[in-house]
Amino acid sequence: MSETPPEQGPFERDGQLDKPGIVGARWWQQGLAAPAGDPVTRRSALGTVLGVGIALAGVGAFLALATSGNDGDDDSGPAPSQAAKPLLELQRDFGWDFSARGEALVFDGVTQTTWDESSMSRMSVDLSPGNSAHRPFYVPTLFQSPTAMPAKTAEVDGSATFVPLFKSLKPNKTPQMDVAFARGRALGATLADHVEDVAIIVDLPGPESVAFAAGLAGMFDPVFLFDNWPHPRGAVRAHRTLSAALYYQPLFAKRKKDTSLRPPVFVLDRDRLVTVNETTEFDNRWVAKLPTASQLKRLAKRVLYVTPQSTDTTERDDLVDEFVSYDSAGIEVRMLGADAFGSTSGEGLALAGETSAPPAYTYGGLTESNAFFFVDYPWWPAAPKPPTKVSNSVPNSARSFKPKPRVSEYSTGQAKPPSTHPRPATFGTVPVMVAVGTGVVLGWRHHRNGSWNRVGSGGGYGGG
Amino acid sequence: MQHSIFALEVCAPYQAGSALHRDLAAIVKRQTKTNGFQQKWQVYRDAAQVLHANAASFVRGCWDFFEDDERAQKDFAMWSNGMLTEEGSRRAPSGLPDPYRGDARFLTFTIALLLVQGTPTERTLAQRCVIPEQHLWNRGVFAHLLEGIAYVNFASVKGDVMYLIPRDEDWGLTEEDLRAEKFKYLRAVT
Repeated sequence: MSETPPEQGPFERDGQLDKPGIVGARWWQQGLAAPAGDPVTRRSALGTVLGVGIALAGVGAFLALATSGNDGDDDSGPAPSQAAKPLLELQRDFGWDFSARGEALVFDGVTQTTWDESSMSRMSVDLSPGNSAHRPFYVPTLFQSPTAMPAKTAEVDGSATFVPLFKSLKPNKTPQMDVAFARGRALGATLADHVEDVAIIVDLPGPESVAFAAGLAGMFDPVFLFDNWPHPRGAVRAHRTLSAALYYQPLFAKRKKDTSLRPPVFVLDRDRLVTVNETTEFDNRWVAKLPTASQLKRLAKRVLYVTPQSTDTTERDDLVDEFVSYDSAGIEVRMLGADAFGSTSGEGLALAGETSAPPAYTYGGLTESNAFFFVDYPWWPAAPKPPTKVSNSVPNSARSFKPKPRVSEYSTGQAKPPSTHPRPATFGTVPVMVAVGTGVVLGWRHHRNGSWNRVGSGGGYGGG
Repeated sequence: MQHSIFALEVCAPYQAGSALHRDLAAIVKRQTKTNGFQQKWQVYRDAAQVLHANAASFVRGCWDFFEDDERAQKDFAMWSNGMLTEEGSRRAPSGLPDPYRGDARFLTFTIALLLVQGTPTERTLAQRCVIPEQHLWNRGVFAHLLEGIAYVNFASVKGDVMYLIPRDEDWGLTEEDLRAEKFKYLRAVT
């Protein structure tokens, strides 16, 4: 365990005390603007402070929480009961492979690069946005998983040795990622002189989203929003996304230095809302946490939402309310199928420092059809016009997309959606068995070795 | 960039060598000069869990959540200066308590996060801090807020401060210390 490379990061200590009467420190996140001045001292100013800025509304269940036991430190009680717990929280406490220790991850790509294992510890920093205005929207969760160590051990994992995730990972690349990279580069090259006021949201399968963003990097500033951890039985194959990110990590780290003033490209995994089989899979789904309309308005006036197919006509359910809010705020949202960019002969755009150019892809798959992008997305009056002798052969129903309220498990269907969005009741949670009295988490409800599964045939439990 | 602040301070009896003090001191000290997002999260998560497990022992406390940018920055400076100026700590040792005289010593543990307003983390904490006024100082509320630390994405945190008073066992705060004007903001936890 001691070989885990320490995570490197942006928080820097600027004040520290280590004296008999007090020990503590203050940190600032580098890149999120300069520290504020320190004009006042605490006690004098707090003399009249009543303490709380927000009050009122439902008190809910928190009163019962005061003396509830924390999970995992004590011996288990005599009889387990079932509870639903957020999987990410369980993984952070008990390890990425909670209740499935020793089970392998399955990859479908090929490792095609040499790499330094210690680079895992830099992932969350190397893949953070270069533009400090985008940093607060970055979700580093996935990139924190490789080197994370558990603080506790679940009973079902007790005898097996924990192996950090980074030991199971390698950079992976698939042919689909190559295509996505070339398409991302082609979109970036097309928009090269027209990036102002545009934000892109890429919503492809995880590895392809990463590759598409890699293609755009250098022209746009990637803001990753992956908010889960891999799990051997995870419904969302986050390890594939992580391996793709690992493959492109050197590129992202290099391009980050060039992207300080570039517009954002928000990167999502299209599979984040997959259907979960609760008895065989762990629910590591997540929802997109995009900027609110008022926040996005400071960054962009237009949003290009990239989906896999030109025949796509709807956004993912968790984006419905957000897109409706954008539209209401005057931010135009248009959809673009990534497959609208087809391959042509020749080479695509090579950026500074690249030894080889990606394959050439253009909008419509023909050199002369590329300018039709600006016909289908007429945001730039001064953009190149397509030759008149060429007809628009780009089948693209996605371009007709306009945000509309729609009711789903993740959206309200309201024209003015509230800031909080609906979620399915057990979203992102897994059923676990906990010891009654102590609250100690014993393991996954459906774990094959759990004593609670050996009782009766009706899913009963009771201490085996 | 607009800011919000979340801050929490608790005061609990301090017995020399207590697990609560030992664990909190270890957590504060284990932070290095630079920290990544995950390290930050882990430190705060661990501190919150230690405090949560000891919520029954809280005797005083205070917490804030302010969405006003100017107030957030000013208050973060205040909380920071509570540490940097050593305002809350003693200037001289208080000595070990004499249990036969009913002496008691106390510790305080403080965290403050300067959050980027409007981010999911800030909104989550804002919702968590919606508490009916009559319950503001209930220990269940403190436990509820400590649980919210698990949902903090430190990419959305601009600055943070964490400190423990005292470091050494013979520098604990006395009841007389806590009666001073400068500690008036600490409310009795019910």
